[in-house]
Amino acid sequence: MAQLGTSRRHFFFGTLLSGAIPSGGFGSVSSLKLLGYKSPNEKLNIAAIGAGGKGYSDILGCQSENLVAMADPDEKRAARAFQQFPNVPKYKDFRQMFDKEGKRIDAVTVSTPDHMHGTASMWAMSRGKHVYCQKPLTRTVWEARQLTEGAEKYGVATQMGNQGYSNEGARQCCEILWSGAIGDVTEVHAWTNRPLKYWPQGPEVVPAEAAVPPTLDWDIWLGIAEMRPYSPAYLPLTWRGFPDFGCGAIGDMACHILGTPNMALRLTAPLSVECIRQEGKSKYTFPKSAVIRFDFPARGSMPPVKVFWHDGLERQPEFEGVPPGELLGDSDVNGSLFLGTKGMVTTGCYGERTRLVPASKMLDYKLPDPVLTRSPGHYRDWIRACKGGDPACSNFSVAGPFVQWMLLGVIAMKFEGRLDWDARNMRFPNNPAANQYLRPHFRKGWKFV
Amino acid sequence: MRAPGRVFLLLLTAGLSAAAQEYPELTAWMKASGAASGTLQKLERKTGPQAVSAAERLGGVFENMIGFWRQLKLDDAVKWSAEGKAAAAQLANAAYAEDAAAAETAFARLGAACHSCHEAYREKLAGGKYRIRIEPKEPR
Repeated sequence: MAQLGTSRRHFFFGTLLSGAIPSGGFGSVSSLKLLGYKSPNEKLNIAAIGAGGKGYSDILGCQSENLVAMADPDEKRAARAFQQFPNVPKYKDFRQMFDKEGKRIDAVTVSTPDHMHGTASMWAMSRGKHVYCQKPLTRTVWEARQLTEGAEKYGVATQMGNQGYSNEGARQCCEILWSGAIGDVTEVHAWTNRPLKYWPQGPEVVPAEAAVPPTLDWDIWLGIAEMRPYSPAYLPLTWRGFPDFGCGAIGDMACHILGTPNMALRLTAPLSVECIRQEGKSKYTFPKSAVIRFDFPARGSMPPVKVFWHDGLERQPEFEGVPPGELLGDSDVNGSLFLGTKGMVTTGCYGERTRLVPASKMLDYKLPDPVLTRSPGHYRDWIRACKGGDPACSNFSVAGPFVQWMLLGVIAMKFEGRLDWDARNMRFPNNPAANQYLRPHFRKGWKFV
Repeated sequence: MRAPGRVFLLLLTAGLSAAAQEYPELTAWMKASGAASGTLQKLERKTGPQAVSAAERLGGVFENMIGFWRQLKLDDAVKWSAEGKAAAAQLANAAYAEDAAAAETAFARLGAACHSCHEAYREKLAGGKYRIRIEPKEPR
């Protein structure tokens, strides 16, 4: 969906409210309601696909609206949401939820493990439901491309849950860079301390088989993934480390930390991607730490740029030209650094606390005038779009292409050497073996739409 | 707690109750900045992880307030918020580098930014309470 200054739905509904369209027949409030439009004062009926962990916070983020159904195969993980909303219908399988509650649902939040993001979102969109999907949008490049096209095809309002995109600081960062304050940006570094302390990755992780807990529907939890014995090593949260379910630290954090670089540098498809270092390789999980390099071509007046992703860090990385003792990014070892021909800018994990490097330069620095609109908040931005407002800032036409290039880094960790990327044809021309990881395998009984 | 610190905390707390009801985000930011400043105030040396973390929270608040005041077209408040953001970045940096003197200087500069804004936009009410006096130049 193209980013429009004023959306057609917004214009249409606004025109109706101002009396420019006859009050009966086509264009009347009742006929618009039949088409699924809501006035800003009406509440959306939202269903939650995934109600535990991040699913719970997504439910709370949409508290201004009606929660009408929840689906989660893990009763224990979802217990807090299930208890807090005792009268809301509960399901294990979102497909059954759509069958039973579909007519009541306007929109869904998708907060499952990564491997089900794409399927759940596409099921919702193809049924005309607006979607707020957690990051990363999908586990594979193909799914991200399908969702990008699907959002446009079905005309629904979408948003990926990378809330930094709505931050004031992320937008200040764009405006600082676009003002030319640090010249042309030719290199970016983004880093995170994850997975350290959050979930295990590395050779010591072996998923030992165990009995399935009575509170878990393992078959539904696996969803499209191949059947395998249950192991407590997989969940909760730890699924991030397993390539069939998650995308490692890059999948967890790059949508946040690389979000501001993606927005500010208008990144598109890279020319190539390479995992240039990794430690703690594992048969079952992503490595303990990795450094991934993406090479992007020139974009408009912006020159080619190298983007480096570093994960599994215990301390802030060091860069030439940065004064000793200078704090980069956030003190919890998450952040980004833009290297320009005239200077440097650093941001925190979510694009916040944007500042020149060294920070002392900020004392005499006047921020450029704003050129970007400001967000009312990430959930509100999406809810507004669902009711006919402008597209949300990280709608799938934005998030889809972003996640497609980010996910190339996940594949790069499986191979030695540089992978050239042919975005148009969605393939790696110099490494056919890598192409098998571009799309998921669907278990029998599961389909994408 | 030393006198300047008490005044600083009072200013922030006043800002909290003073934040106009129609601007809930401002109330939340004043609460957050009050808590972070209180943490810093208690530290004899404003260095180390706790000071860095508090300074980072303040940096985030000032950054958001730049956007807030810009919407209201109040240029002086935008300027003070930008000064606060710069001071918070200085403070976080100094605290991270264990430079206590630089941290004290930055903390004072941060307090000055708060004070300037409160002087201009805070109004004392009967009973010792405060409210923020905001008169937008153009409708929001």
